[in-house]
Amino acid sequence: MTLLAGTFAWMAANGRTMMELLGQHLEMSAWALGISLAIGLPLAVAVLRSPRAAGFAIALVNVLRTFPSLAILAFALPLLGIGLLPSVVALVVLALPPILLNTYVGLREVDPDLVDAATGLGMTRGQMLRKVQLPLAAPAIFGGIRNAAVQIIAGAALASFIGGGGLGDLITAGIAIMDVQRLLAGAIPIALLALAVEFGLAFVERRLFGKRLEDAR
Amino acid sequence: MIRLEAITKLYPGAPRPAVDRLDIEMAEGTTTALIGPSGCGKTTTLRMINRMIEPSGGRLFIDGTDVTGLDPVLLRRRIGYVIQQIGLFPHQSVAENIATVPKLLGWPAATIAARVEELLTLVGLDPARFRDAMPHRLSGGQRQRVGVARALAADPPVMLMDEPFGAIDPIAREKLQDEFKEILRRVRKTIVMVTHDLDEAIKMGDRIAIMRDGRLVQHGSPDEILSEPADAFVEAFVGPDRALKRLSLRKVDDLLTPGEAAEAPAIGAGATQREALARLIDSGAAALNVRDAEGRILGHIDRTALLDRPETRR
Repeated sequence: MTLLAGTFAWMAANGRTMMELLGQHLEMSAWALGISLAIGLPLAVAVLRSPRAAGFAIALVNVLRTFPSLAILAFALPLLGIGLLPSVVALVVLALPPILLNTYVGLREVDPDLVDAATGLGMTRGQMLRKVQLPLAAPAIFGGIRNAAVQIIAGAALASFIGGGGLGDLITAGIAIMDVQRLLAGAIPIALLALAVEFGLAFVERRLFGKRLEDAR
Repeated sequence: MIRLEAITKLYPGAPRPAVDRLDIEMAEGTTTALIGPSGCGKTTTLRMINRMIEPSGGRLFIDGTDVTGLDPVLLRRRIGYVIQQIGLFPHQSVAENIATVPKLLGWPAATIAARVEELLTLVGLDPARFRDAMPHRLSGGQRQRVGVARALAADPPVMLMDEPFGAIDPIAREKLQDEFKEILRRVRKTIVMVTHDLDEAIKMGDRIAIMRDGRLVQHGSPDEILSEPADAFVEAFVGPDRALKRLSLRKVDDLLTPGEAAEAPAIGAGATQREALARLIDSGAAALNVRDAEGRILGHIDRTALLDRPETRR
């Protein structure tokens, strides 16, 4: 109890640092999520018509994903130096598989009869994507984004090892100087942030698609 | 009018073409039923008309225009398309589904809304009740009505129907066939319908085109196909009960003898002669009285008149 009280006291005393690190954490996460979406969504669409290309792309991102994030940071360090950029790259590697896979599977599992009907009615590929495939795959895509967002928030803690900043700085510093209160001042907000993103997005998901999921049953 | 000239589809590696130099002409405002055993190329032929499948050779004319070189997307917007699985977009309301092609064509919203009302009424669905309904709330028959309304939305001159009653349960199917026949008669489109059900082809088709191994074996009116099968294959395909099937093409009204028959069961005017025969067998009577909708006796038909055929009376 005293430990927690001490942690909160530390956080209160270092309010400005806390806000600054939280800001860095969120900024890094937002960049990583944005870039993952910018790569993952178009890539899923691009490989949609070729099972071979899709298999290759999915295998590639999954192989990248098997590297521990710390190892990716280590690889990124000599190539990209220290700071925000290599951290974001490592987080993108983390977030790409759920986004790519969910989008691809979601798009591909759209009933082929609907694709046939849409083609027969005279939709172009782009119109079919916009009017039929993406709306129907939206719940799956959103699920992938939620998954990716949580992984990014949690994974961003490691960025501190290569000078990426964020709340992870408090954890590394806490470990280095054996200051448990400082360590927890980093760890607790990260855990709460990850939970908030998980439940927040789950709530949004239900609001957006809940009725449709119910109807489909 | 649709004209196929030597239309061919050869898949790479296939031993023979799926469709082999097919020539056929379908007159404006008529319904042609494409029928044949599975693998005969009927669906491939249908799907080549809106270029869902690209022909490997031959030419395709719609209303006299060669459409072989046209942009397939623009071509398809002028051809109605109805499929067995119906394929209504589940995330869109009935009205939005029907509005698909008009929206692609950029019609103004008010025109589209009016057209949706008109089409729902045409296919027998109350617009007030069904306009905003979602497809999963509808029965199979209602869904296919919406499917047909969607296909007719931009008033295309041609409509393709691939087994349109295939997903409808047998009890509702016959009623829906009757209603669609009436709707199709009213809209006067050139319709090509693929079916594997001969009775359906006889009922719906002004003309029947029988295919086998990618070739057209016979093309004629249902009566011609049933009375003069072109070869042993068609004869076997139409079956040993073709005389009965021919009876289903004729109405009792054609055999009417004036006056009421004594102690005879009654049958409604407009019933088929096949139904009359069934009633005769069922009741053991020698004649049937024919009644109109108000119950007035129009006359009667004799067992002998019904049986005196088929070769002698064509």
